[in-house]
Amino acid sequence: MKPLISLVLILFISTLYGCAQKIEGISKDVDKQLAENSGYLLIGIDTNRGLHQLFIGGTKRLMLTSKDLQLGTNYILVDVPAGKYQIDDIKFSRYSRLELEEGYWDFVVKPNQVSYIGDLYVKTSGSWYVSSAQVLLENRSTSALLFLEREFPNILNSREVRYSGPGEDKFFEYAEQLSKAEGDVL
Amino acid sequence: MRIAFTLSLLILACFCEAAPIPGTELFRAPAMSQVTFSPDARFISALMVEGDERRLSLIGLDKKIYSDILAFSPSERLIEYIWIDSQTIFVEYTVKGQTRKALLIMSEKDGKPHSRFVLLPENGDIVDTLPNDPQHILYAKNKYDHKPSYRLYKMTLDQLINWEFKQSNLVEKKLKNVAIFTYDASSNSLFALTVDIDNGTAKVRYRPLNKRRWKLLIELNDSDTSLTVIGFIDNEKLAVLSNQNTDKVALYEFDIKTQKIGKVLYEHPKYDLIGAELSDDGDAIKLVRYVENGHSRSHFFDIALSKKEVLLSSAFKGNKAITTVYSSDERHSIVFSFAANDPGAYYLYDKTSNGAELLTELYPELLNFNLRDTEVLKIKGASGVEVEAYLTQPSSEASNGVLLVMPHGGPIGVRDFNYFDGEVQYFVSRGFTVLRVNFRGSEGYGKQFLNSGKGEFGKAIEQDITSVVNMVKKLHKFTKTCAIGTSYGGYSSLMLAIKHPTDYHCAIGRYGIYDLPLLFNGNNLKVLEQYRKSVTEVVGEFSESLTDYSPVYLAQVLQAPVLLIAGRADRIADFEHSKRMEYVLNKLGKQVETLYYKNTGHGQESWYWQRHEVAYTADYLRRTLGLADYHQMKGVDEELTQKLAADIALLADGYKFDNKVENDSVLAIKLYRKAAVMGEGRSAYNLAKQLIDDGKKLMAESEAYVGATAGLSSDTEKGMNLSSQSRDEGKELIQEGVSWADKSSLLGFSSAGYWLGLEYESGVIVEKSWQKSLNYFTAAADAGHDAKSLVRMGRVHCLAPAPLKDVKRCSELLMLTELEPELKKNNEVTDESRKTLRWALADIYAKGEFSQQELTLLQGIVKTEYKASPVKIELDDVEFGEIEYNFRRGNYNVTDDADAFTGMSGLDLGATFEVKFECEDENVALIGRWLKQGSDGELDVLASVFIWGDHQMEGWNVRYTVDSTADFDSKLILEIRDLNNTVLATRAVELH
Repeated sequence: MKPLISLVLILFISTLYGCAQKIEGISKDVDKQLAENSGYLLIGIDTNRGLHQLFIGGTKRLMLTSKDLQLGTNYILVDVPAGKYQIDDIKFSRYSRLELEEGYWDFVVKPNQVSYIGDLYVKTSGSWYVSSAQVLLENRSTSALLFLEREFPNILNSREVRYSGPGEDKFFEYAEQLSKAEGDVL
Repeated sequence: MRIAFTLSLLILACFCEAAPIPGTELFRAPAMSQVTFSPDARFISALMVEGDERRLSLIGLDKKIYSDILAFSPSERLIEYIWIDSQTIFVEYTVKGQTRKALLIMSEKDGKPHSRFVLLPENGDIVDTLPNDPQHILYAKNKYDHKPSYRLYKMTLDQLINWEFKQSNLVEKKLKNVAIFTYDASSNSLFALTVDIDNGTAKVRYRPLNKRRWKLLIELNDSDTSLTVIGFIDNEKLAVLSNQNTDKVALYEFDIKTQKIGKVLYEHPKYDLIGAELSDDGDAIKLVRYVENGHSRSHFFDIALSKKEVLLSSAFKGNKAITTVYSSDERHSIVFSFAANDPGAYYLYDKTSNGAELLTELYPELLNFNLRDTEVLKIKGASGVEVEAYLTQPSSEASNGVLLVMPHGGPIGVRDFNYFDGEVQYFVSRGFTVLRVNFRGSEGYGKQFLNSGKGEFGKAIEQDITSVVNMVKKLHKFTKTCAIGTSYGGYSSLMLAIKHPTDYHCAIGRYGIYDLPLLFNGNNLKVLEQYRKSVTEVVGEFSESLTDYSPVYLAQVLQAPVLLIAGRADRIADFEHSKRMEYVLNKLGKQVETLYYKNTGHGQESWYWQRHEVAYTADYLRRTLGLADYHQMKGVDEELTQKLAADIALLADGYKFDNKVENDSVLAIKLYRKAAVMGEGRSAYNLAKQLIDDGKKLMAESEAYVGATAGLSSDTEKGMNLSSQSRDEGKELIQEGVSWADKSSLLGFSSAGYWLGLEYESGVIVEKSWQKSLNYFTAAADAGHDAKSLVRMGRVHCLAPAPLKDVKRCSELLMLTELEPELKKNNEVTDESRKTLRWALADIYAKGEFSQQELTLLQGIVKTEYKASPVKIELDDVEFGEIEYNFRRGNYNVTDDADAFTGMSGLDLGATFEVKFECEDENVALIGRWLKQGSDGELDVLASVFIWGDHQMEGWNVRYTVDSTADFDSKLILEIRDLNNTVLATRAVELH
């Protein structure tokens, strides 16, 4: 297996990302009309330090900001154009960023559904500055589903949720069947 | 045969009750480990563990006197140590998980060994002590931190101590990627293992120490075939263990030049070999080892060795006995004796007297318990394949009729053994029968057996287990059956309950996998081809059909209640497996309980949390199966009940404190109560504190309600009644709490006594009582509380009215440096005790009234403890008012000397002054007494402070912070007194 650290590269230089669109997780559980060929992206962030920015490249260049990247575990639901994406970089501060190796951080957002792409797990070492970091994109579908059930029941009721991170997983489909069966019984 | 006679007496001496074994006795470090001899054969050295203390100790072979040469703190763990010579030991240990290396340099003082500690580089290791060259050692040091890159040095000990690597002889620096160097003195051969991580290959090379050219000995890769080097047969051939051309791992010849396996030297008909030894010249096989019936067995080709083994084993009456090490003079050896129902003991064998002497049992406390033996079963299932299983049963009077089926993890290349197993004994001592099965896929029974388990998740493996369960149930009667396992064992446990829903009454999965497709999709590394290939080999091809064998997708048929235990940071069996299983079981309305540990991976690493997990599991089984409390079993006396209560307290602590378990105050209080009823003092105290906190909260809420509704209309009557009810309930809780604290004190928990002493002193939740306060402080002191308890007792004797007032006794108790030896031993004088002493002296002087004779006694305390005399003192330059610390000057300054201050909570008031006195060699002491004078003119002592210093001391000051609870409409007076109670200065300020 490739060691974790080989998938990332920590750089202590500042780079300009002027063209990335700043996105923020939605807060209201209202399933609005999505723009044509758009879908919901659901990502979890589990980090042991507050992050400065997270850059996503692909169909559209997107940027999550420190508001959604606090220390601890947090889920972010946001509507974006459907298409292929990848997580490019993590910025710990204005001057320190982590470049993720290509090919290991890809995902797809499909139109008109909620695409859960995984939980980005970030564990850093160092107190004033980041000396090393472990980063993984983990499949934590159940926690993501519980988050939607708790915070966005309306959107969950009206949209399919599918796993769109690395690999293949049909758990959401199964959970959907269970919920339907539960509803039938009730 | 004297050896046999002596030892049989020791073994027969153990007759014990069948009673539950507390977790603290089973899940702990052994009393002795890493036992060896010093090179001069004068000492045995070993890691000794007693309670929480771990020490590297020497035991003199002549008088058997123990001497500690290195003590480890609670955050330190010894990994290993190596004698370099008779005066030097190389030690490798960890501090909070970080590796450290050091030398212990020994010397003798008054006939006792002492040691000096010298830290060494963390990236180096001793390769060999070079017995034929006593001036030098071989030492390897890694060049780069994160990859194998060892370089080899031949150096003196002094060079190592001084880290003089540049001055040392660099024996090998050209060979790349060296992970290990080893040296064989008899052939003067140096060996190097080099690894290629990217290609998964490794090479062993060798050369004479004084030559440069390496020769390839063997190349290893990560193929299915195992290959273990045993030794040289001659210059061209090695003896190796391999299963390349045989079903079983056998002893083969290996041609060094062609790197090919040759003829089979020995193959056991049923079992894989796990070891072998050759004669010194490599011409003959001395012995081979394999695992039979769950125990390591040796087959001897050397008749003399065979006779010795037979003699040794017969001396230990059925226990396995092995010689672990010989002294350099070959007179002594260490023998380790063990069995399935005996964790083992170390003996010192003396060849001269042909007698063995017990050094220690590994777990001496377990001698008080009836440890059960294990029966080996060999059963052919429907498939016709024979599988081996281990059945451990309780005594008939202890049995609770429950069969615990415990599949092992893996499942491929892992197995269960028939050695002593702490967890098995824990459950068996509580009345459970434990069954472990070496199903298809287990290690040790040959390649075919191993491979036949691959891809058999939920199929052949569980068929094997079920065949054995059915056979055992034919032989023995059980009322209930539960499956419990870890990792694959967790999966297997749930699958057994799914496949046989009516046969299982509960299933416990620990750190388990429950969704087989998720094994291929757990994270972005697990989707990589290389990882998936390794999973495929064990589980089978990744396809949707794997859901047909996944508990997550089969849970509908489950009838048994399920307990899921998991680590939130588990990346072997991803935590998501357990979360999915829980989610699905909840959706389906099934009975499921979870215990998820924070900061925990694939199992518990510490004894503490292993104890927690097993205690939780036992409690779950009791609750789920409706069993009686374990402490109600036959043979459990009061003392054992208290020890068993510690397991319950451990569960309560999990819910109460900030640790790996999510807090739950309701469960914490319930479990503390249970443990308290069982006589566990600390639990009674924790219960008391919780009840009192709850009671105070209720009373505060009630008072807040009354305050908020004062003057409102009559519709608040109902509310007032509720408020009154809350107040009464609050009072009741506080009373109950006080009675539990009293019980805790009676049970010998010193903190409870000390705390009650304080409460009876302050009179906030109980009626003030000098006598009760003294009684509880005394109880605390008797129970071994630190010397604070003595100081508090002394204060009562100084300040309480007659007949308790006894200033002489007070002075005896406050002289901490001259305490009676018994008190000093029982009541440690800590920094906290000394701080309490300073406070108590100030308080006694500020509040007490004393005759001259009594004052002399008090002055005696100050003289003894602070070398301060009651000499004449004058104060000069007294400044008084608001005070502030000046960081630039490093002292306190009065910044505002106003006569009055208005409403300033947090106001720092104080005085600065100079102290003048004669007697330059002496210290002097002063008491600052802060008094509040209300409008009625009455004086109350608000606070007091004891200060002392010598002639040189500058920046004398006395301070007081006006807190938010102070009554501002009053006068605040500061008196500074000397040890004769003479007022040296008085200042006052109005507070409004």
